[in-house]
Amino acid sequence: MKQSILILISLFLLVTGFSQAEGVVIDVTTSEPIPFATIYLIDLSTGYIADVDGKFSYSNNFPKNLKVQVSCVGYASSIQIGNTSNPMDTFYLEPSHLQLEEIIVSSPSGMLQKQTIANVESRKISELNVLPSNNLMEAISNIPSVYQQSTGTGISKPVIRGLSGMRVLTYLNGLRIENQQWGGDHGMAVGEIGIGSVEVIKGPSSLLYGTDALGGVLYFIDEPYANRGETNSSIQSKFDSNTLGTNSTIAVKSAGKNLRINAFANYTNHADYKLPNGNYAKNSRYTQMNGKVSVGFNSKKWVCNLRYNYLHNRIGLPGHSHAPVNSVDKFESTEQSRERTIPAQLISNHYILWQNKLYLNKGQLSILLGHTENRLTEYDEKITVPGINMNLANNTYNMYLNYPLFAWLETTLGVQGMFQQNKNLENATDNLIPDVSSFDNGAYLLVKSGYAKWNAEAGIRVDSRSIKTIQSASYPEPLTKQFNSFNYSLGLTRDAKVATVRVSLSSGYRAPHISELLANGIHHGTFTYEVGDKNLTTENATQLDFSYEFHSEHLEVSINPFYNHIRNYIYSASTDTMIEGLPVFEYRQLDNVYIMGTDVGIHYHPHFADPLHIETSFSYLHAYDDNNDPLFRMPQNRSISSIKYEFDSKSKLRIENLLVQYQYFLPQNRVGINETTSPNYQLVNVGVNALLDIKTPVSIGFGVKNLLNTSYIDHLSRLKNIGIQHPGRNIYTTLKLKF
Amino acid sequence: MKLKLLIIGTICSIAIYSCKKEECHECHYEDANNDAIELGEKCGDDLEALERDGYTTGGVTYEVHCHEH
Repeated sequence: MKQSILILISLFLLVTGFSQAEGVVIDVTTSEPIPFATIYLIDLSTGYIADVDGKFSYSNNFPKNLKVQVSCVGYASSIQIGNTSNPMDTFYLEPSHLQLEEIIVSSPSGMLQKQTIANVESRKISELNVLPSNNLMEAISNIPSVYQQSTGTGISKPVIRGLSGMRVLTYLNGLRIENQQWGGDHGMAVGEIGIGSVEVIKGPSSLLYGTDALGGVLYFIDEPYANRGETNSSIQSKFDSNTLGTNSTIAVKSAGKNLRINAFANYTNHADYKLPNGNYAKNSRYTQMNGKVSVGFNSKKWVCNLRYNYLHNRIGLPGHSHAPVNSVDKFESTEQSRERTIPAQLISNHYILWQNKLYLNKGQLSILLGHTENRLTEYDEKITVPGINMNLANNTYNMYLNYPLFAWLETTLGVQGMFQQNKNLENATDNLIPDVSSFDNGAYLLVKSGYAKWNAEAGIRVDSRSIKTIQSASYPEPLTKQFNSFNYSLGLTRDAKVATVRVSLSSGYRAPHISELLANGIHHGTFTYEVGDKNLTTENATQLDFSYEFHSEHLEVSINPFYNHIRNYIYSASTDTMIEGLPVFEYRQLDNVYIMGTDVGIHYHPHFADPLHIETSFSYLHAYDDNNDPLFRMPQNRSISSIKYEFDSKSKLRIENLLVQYQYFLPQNRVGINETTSPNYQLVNVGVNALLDIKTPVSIGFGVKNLLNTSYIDHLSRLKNIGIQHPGRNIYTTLKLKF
Repeated sequence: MKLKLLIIGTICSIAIYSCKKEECHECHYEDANNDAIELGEKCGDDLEALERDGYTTGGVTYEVHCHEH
């Protein structure tokens, strides 16, 4: 009898838990259904495509109150919330001639980007790659205030508003990426495969991200899963003439009712890059392998994602020499090669993230548990005996409760932390930093309220970091340090149809890294001998940020001035001494530095020329200390302008768009001690994208980067002092097959 | 179908352009007169042992270099 009741209950739950329902998307002005609209379930990273009658069927087995993004060509896309009784029923869209700016939900805060207090700039990677980039960092350096600090073409580090290294945090789907980013030659460790979008938070952001979020945060988000009930795959490849390089990716996505999976694999191989003078930059070659798997699952009260990512690089280090005096021709070759040689970096990264979101009766509880493993090996003098060989293991936790305290007040209460261990492995000839473990813990409270067009937000946070080194022959004196900090953020935004105004005050902090405290040795990758200082104290920053955005149907204008005051700023100071033929740099601290600037952007879409888009942005930065002296390694001010024409052909082989981009970098004459100035330079890039619209569509791209074969060295290039130029002209082709 | 196979084949051919091989390098040491004495091409375990242990001749062990600066 009991067994029969159990079976009946199970059947009942099965039927009610997975019942089918129907929804529809309607034109609000005509009440007509909208065929082939997209209904995207934001928290589940999957969705539906409506049929020719605007209808879609769904199994009613996901949480209520989900944010749903509904969109269709010719309509303004909107974010809507499912109601408590019937989450998916009827959605309404308003016709729009053109939507210049996509409505985006900011992943970290869960709020609409236009309503967030923090100035979050969200971009789809596909938009940044209309002119394909060599790597992810090059793509996002098109965003205002974001620059790259490069060592050849294989290594790029993010720079946000002049700050980089340990002052810029990188997140991947909520997992904090740690990859020895203190090193000037340790590039950003996120591969481009499967990345759908990036959100850039500019300036101090310790409230939500903890220590080190002083310059800003790069928050990468994976591509969504396939629409429910669909399986699709693609294979794509890119060829670059400058490096005879290939970049190939296979992707498979499949989504069922409750379970969905994405899988990606990539192999990249580039030979030495060709200089504008026709020679090649010796040992600038690199290879990369990247694999990624994500599995998503949901029930009525729980959404879960399990993500694994593997990234392996072998990167040549150009500009390496032991001679006391060098000329640039020693670093050039008349022959191009991709054969393995030294010096080289071998880097392996494993990332695992378990994301959970529990939907409570009121509010949501998010739990993210992550683990990263970074192995960095540098071969400098010997092919089989490494100079540096380190393993960095990082375990992170992030738990936060979003709770509507009142109808007009939402609160977020969170705890966050990480346990990190760095270990020098056997056989390395140098221990640039000691074996060390560190433990971070933080707790924060954030309150948000909105009324009519206004939104306000305020928050506080406390953090603690403890560091303990492990005694070794290279570092016989153990060091134990503790750093505590209090941070805050508050702001106001008004989001109207024509204009959005935002003002915020935020703080951030950064504890000195062990490399800054205890470095004492040669760092071949940066051609320096580094000396630390164990008496360094915490950096603290406060930023005032204001932004005004005007948006109409054909014109968008934005202006975003900011002022950032950093206390106890740590920097690497050039000294007049040499050790083992290398210049000595010491870590020191300045009482105060000030970084101010502005970004200005214009996007014009003429009414008389529907397919034409004209965009331009200008980024300006001015940094100085108490003596009004400039800071070291500040990026050149720049403008980036583009003209894009979108074709509307119906033929089977058709051109989709044509893009011409012009970048102008102003001279950098404000330089630190022993730093040289940099002249202005300009780059022209052109590209065209086409589609062969057959049963298995084929996307084709073709273009030229650095069309004018300009000779230039960016001010932030680590090869600047030895005179190695950036790559010359590059002709690229891309092929993408979807099936 | 043929076009699809051709495109996939082209992409795969480009993708597997570089094959992994055992690493071999020309090695040398510098004698008492700082003259470079060639030891020829060394691979795998031999290469590793030379770099780790050096090259011994006439009772003297010299550091071996197997790469070009």
